[in-house]
Amino acid sequence: MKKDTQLKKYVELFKKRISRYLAAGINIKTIIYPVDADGAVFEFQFNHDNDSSVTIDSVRPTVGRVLSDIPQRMVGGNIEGVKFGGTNLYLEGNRILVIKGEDDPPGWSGKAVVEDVQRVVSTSQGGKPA
Amino acid sequence: MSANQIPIEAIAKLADDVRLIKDFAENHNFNSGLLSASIAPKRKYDTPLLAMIGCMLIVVALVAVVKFWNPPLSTSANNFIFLIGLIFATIASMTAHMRFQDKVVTSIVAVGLLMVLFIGAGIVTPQEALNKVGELAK
Repeated sequence: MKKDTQLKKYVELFKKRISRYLAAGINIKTIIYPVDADGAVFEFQFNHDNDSSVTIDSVRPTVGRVLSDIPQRMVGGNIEGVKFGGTNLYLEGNRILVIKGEDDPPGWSGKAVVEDVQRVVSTSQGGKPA
Repeated sequence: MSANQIPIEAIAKLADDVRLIKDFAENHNFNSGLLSASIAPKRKYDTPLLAMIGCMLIVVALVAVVKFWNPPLSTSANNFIFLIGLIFATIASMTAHMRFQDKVVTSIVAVGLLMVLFIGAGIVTPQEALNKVGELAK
């Protein structure tokens, strides 16, 4: 997915939906990683610095390439060979990665955003130590 | 080793290559204080829904004015009321989209209200409207 409008729309809806769960004084900085193939990666960084910026990073060939370029401990080894489906979530410290594996419209709809945010919130409450 | 046997290394590599991660969620020591799972109290009123219903009622009221006002209004007054109706139909469609975030619901509200307006203004007959909706549904 590399359509700017679609990517930004997802971020706008995601931030709107998650805002009701945010602790006071927290803002969300967003980095969008577009992908030539299907899917895309969103990085939401929670901060106290009043930073609500949304930036679009350079387009990478696959979701796997994005994950090999940014810090994460969800997938290791040969990430390029991993296929991603649906919506995968990775929460660590003060950041959330939303990894979309497909470009299918239902996965990017307003309804999907609501489900993604609900999964983020429920996942955020039970973590395993780093 | 027969020709049919695959070396263990090749199997391991194959397994590594076909990994599929789907709808997976992992929490790696996320600071849970950033998000509160306790649902914030819902707003008392569902504003977009109320606005949508309000706009729909206004459209119906405007159609009633055009149809039943006695003595009948002039053509220019009717046209003006029709335009106001169009504006409210547009607002109703927008609020429907805000509320339901669903193209199908928005389309139903938009087409429905436009049909009510067109029938009310005498631009189409109810029979023509039914045929048109039938065509759209196909």
